[in-house]
Amino acid sequence: MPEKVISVCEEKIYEQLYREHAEKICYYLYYKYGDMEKAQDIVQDSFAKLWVNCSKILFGAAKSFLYKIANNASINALVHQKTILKYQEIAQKTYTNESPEFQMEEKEFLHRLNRAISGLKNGQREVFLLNRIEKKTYKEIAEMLGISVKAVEKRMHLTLVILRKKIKTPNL
Amino acid sequence: MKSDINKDNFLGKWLSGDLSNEERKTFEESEDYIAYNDILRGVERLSRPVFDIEKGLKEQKIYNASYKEPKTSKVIKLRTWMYRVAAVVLLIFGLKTLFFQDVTIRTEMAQTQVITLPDNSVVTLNAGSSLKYDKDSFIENRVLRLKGEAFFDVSKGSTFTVTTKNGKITVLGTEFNVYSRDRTLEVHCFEGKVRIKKETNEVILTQGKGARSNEKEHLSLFEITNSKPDWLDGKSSFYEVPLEQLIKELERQYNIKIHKGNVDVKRIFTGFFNHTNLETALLTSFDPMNISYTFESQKIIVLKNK
Repeated sequence: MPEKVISVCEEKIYEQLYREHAEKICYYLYYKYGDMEKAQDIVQDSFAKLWVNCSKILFGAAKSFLYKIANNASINALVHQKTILKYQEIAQKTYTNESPEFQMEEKEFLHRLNRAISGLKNGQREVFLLNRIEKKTYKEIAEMLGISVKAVEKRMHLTLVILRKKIKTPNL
Repeated sequence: MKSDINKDNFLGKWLSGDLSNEERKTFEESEDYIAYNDILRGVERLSRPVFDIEKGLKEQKIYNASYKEPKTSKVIKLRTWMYRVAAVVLLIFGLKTLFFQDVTIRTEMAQTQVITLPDNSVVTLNAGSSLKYDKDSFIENRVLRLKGEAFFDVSKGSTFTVTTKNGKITVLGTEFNVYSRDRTLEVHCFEGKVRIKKETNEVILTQGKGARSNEKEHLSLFEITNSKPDWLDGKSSFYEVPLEQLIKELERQYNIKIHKGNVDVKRIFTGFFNHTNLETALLTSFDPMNISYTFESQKIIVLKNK
């Protein structure tokens, strides 16, 4: 029995795709390039392209289409972009740095951490934040970026080592 | 067990819970663990900006309504072998742009430009010349490509190489002038030492020496008396050069066109002209050679033997 064809042109389907993927793609771009506004612009463009080409794209291929467009667009728009990430800091319970090398005010610690993350290379930052904030598994990240799980593992290791160094000596 | 953390994926394994129990226990007792744990806890405290899905969807629909895809150019079907050719060409260009972030500086006619290179060397580019170098690797690898004429004040450091189509000049920090146009290469060394290599020939210039090569001669040496090139002071001087070289320099400095008429441009010229007044420059250049000139228009000059 032939499967019922799901058309991306159908508004409900399109909305479903948006709800499912827009946010994820946006964060993915944000972690990579550190610019939320641009990330949102690219997401908007990607989904507009999906809409315009809806008749040509199978439902099952929509996700990879979106990521592809987003990836291409970001390379065009953000090459050389080095915006410092702005994270909202949650001001809750007082936080103590246990490690002797990070004995500093909490605010200062978070500030340095933030700066260190901003200063990471795109590839390192995206892997690190996708795992730590989006809670994506190495396997998921590897599939998203088209690299091996082993490479993700190594990047995570290297990123942590770099962050530690940078927090200790921020001007590194 | 301490050495384990130096493996390039140890922390990656730790985060994904892929360490063995034993490895994990040893690690959790170390100071490293406390530091990395602090970082992770810090990251938890940071939050990402908000992405409002429903608001985004609403805006998306408005955006879609007016969205027009950028026009794509017409698709021309290629034969398979053309794909191969295209792929090779693309690859070459791709590699070139990937590995060589070239910077090119060009001067137009009647224009000079002072450029400070990433290593703080200063280059003064004479009119109608161009200079190209790789921005990313310049500090480690001081190589640049010159077309035309330029004066170099090189800061101390690793070897500094100027390549031209007429030969290669290497130095270690010095002041020198390179002229490379048509088939002529002329290098003046004002300070330090300069090595010139042309094919298999090689000469080393010390302060106050110059070298020249053209179709006829292969790197002949001569003495120079000035302490910097004349063109930096707004004049062009020549020593035993064919007339055509003088004419070309006049054209570059004044952005004019000179028609040689019945004049023999192979004749040898020694002298100079200044860059401030065209009439004077023409007079000083052509009068001693017994050549008269007429303005056909403001920019075009015709020569004639007297």
